[in-house]
Amino acid sequence: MSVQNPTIPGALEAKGIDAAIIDLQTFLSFELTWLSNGMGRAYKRKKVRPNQAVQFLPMVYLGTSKYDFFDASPDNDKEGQSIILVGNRTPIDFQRGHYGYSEYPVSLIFSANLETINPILLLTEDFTEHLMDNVRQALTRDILGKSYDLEILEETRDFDEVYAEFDINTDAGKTNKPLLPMTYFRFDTTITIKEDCPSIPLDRCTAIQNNLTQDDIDNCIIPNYCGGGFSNTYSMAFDGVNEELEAPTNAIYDIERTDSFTICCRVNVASFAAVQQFIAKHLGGRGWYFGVVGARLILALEHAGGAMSNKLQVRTVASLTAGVSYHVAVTYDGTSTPGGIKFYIDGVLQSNVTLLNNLSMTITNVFPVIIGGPINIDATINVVRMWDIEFTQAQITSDYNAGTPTDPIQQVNQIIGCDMGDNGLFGVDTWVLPDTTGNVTGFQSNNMEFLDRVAAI
Amino acid sequence: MDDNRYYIVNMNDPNILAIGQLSVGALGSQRVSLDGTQAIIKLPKGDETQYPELEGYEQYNHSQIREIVFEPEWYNEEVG
Repeated sequence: MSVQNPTIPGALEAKGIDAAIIDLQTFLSFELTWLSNGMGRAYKRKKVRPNQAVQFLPMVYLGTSKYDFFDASPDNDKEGQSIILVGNRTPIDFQRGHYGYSEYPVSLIFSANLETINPILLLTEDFTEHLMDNVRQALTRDILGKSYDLEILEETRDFDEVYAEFDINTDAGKTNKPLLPMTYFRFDTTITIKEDCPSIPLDRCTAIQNNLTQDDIDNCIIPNYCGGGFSNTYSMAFDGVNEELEAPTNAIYDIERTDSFTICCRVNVASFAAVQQFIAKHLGGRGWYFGVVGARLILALEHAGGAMSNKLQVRTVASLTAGVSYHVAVTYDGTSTPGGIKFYIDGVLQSNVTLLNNLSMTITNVFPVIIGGPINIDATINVVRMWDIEFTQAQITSDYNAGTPTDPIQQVNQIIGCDMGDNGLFGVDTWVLPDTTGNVTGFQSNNMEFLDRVAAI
Repeated sequence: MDDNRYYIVNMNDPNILAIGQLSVGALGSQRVSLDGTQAIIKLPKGDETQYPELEGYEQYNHSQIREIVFEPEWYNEEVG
């Protein structure tokens, strides 16, 4: 074992927050290519120098025969080093006779030697933000299948704030630690765990893979991110008043009630009301739409409303929560019956309620496909896709996890693909967002501004 | 974060074309009441100018206008 690069043993019997921290340590070391020394839980320990000076330093337990703690202060010999500070436990959601949940403030502290990571790039810029972006992506879009929920609260690059709990001097004149090529940053987060952590993964995707019951799945913490391998940069935020995206007219969108189809998208609804539409080819009671009625998902296939009512409307039993991001999907088998409609939330098949079931006439119309309307929705939407086949559960899970339809059948049958702000162009007052299928040139915004392109959900 | 300011304007307002120039998006793409007599327009985020063309019209914030668009004059989707 080298003193400079010690082997940090992995605990075999970790429990509770320690299990979560060890998993996070391993996860970060795997995800961040520049993190050469990803260490685990650090403690504030007093160290007395030979001159009797006392310092509080971050120490990581080594578990050797000497039961040593290792000084995990920043070190320019290490390409990238991280330590994890854990604060006090706060019990939340306590119910007698049930598992409770615990919340911990957890800080991830990074130091890195930029020169060893990319000396060429360092000639022109301080690329600390690149490293922070790597961490951010790992902790939001890439983290999945964990037995804990993690939320980023604050980030800082100020040296004194990064090491606020410790007596680590800047030592600029002596060691150059706070100057380039060294860089330092910190992510303050909250980790939530169930009392029996790590026995049951808490996110819903992993719950499905482990065949948990619907009750258990409903109890799982809903992650505030979508899909495991999925990654893009931008979503579009719709105000639920008059903002929407409109597709050019194309015969490929003329879905009939006897056609099967699948629609997937990622949504974060800000407020619920009556009907609001994610995507529709619908106006005045004629056509099809996928959206929400109240907080529940709805698919409607309609010939006419009013006295001539001829419609199929089905909604979910389960509700979405405002401000939470979901992957939502609906499949339809072309039978014009309620049983032909399946909804999925974060890859989980839902139970349904039939609202109307008397559809027997055509639903085709001359209206354009609209994303975010025409009954406008107050939501952020990302990665809207539609296929002219009915997906299986496995294909829905694939779209949820990977975010990219890798199956050739899926690609051939895709009729709508809009990755929202990614590769979008903003003209004088209009966004043009490309259609990734190539069926049309793109989706043009109505009444949307440059600032309506927001970070990906 | 800067918010939009919303207004419900009369389509027969003699200044309607000028109002359309102020709003985000073209006048023809704005949300119109079911009877076609009124439209909802909004000013760009952060625009705090008091325009004479909008004098006499009530100003709404996002949550206020969201309640209005689900009133019968603006909304008619039948469900169930």
